[in-house]
Amino acid sequence: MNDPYQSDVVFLLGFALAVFALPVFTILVFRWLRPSRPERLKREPYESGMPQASVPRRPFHMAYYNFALVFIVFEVETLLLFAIAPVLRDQGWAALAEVGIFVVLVALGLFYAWRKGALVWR
Amino acid sequence: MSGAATFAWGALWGAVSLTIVGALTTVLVLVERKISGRIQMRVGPMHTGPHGLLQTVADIVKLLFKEDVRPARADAMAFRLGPLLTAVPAVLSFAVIPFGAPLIMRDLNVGVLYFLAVPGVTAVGLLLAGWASYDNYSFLGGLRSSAQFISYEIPRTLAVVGVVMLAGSLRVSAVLEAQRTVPFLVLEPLGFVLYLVTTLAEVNRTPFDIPEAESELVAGYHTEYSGFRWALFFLAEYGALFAASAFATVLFLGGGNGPLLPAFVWFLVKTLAIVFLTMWIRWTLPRFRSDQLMRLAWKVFLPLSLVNLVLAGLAMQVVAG
Repeated sequence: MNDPYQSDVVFLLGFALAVFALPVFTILVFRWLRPSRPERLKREPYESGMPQASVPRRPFHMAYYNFALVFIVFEVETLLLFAIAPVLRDQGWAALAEVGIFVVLVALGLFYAWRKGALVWR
Repeated sequence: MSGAATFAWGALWGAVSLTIVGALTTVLVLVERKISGRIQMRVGPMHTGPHGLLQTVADIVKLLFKEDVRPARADAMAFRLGPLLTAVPAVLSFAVIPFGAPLIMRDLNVGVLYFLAVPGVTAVGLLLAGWASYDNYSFLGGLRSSAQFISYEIPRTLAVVGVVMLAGSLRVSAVLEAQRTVPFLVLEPLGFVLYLVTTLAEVNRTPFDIPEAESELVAGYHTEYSGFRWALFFLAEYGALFAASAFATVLFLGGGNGPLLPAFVWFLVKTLAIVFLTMWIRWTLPRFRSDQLMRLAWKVFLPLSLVNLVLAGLAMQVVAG
């Protein structure tokens, strides 16, 4: 357990457990203290007082799919930058130019997606 | 420290963070209601306690004792998990917030990355809550929130990459140390603006509050929630707002660095100034339309953040000499 990274993970596990468990615990405790009188109309989904006009389990807008795809591409590229960013300072101009080339490639990708119309919300 | 002790130590700080977020939400909701009142020439809550100071305390007690209504056709498990997955990541990010020079719960060697990655889970929580509710408004709200969340995540992350380059480390304390003389705001003004505006979108604040646009979607993803589960969404919103403002302070304003006053005070002053700025914006500007919002993210902020990255590289070379 002397490896600092490993103990960080253990610490965060404990942290996450507490943060997750305490609200659950609160919900469970107040289950006995709060009223519970379910009835049919109360358990209808809200739609401005009308019966539900359409079912929310249905295909949705194609644009969401487009943006999700573009997101994955750019998010991965961003993550790659995180691998080099912390050590870039002491590497001089040559390394910076190399990262610059990478950024230009990312920009070209963005330009491509733009021209292909992937960034238009229709 | 042994494994079990580290685990318990982590759990203790988790409980502390949750308490901090709870207290912050209580205070910030009241502050926001008072500020919005002032901006709209009202007085805000006045009746519970002197000048309405106990209003949110009373609200919390009320929410705890409210009935937990769940739509009959809702997906029970996902409906329960949604608010938790929204609130928990917001609280988790408090593990790496440096409240003062020695006051940081855990100075992770990847602290900055942790802060960007963990609150990202919120997008899943919003989508889950919206989908599980079996309500058309919630469904649309959930979809829109996650689409907006992921779109603004990229320019926001790129803005932070610039800071990481200048600081030469992903460790929060190292980022602060690098700003001992000059805050990064001076070296990277564009990055600061990008971070601030995209953060507004990440925490669903006006002018980017499409996910819960009251006038079109009732309340968006939390339409069907009531009682304590509903309160969890607000815990998430104000917790994330404070955490993001705190990180704006860390990344661009030099954290607790400042003359005379102790680091803790400087840190809170800077962070609360940014929180106030977001509230001021919220009650002043109108809301974007859904397609304008996406266009802004991809066609304005993303190219700008790439430009910012190049500028950060040049600034880094100048500073490094």
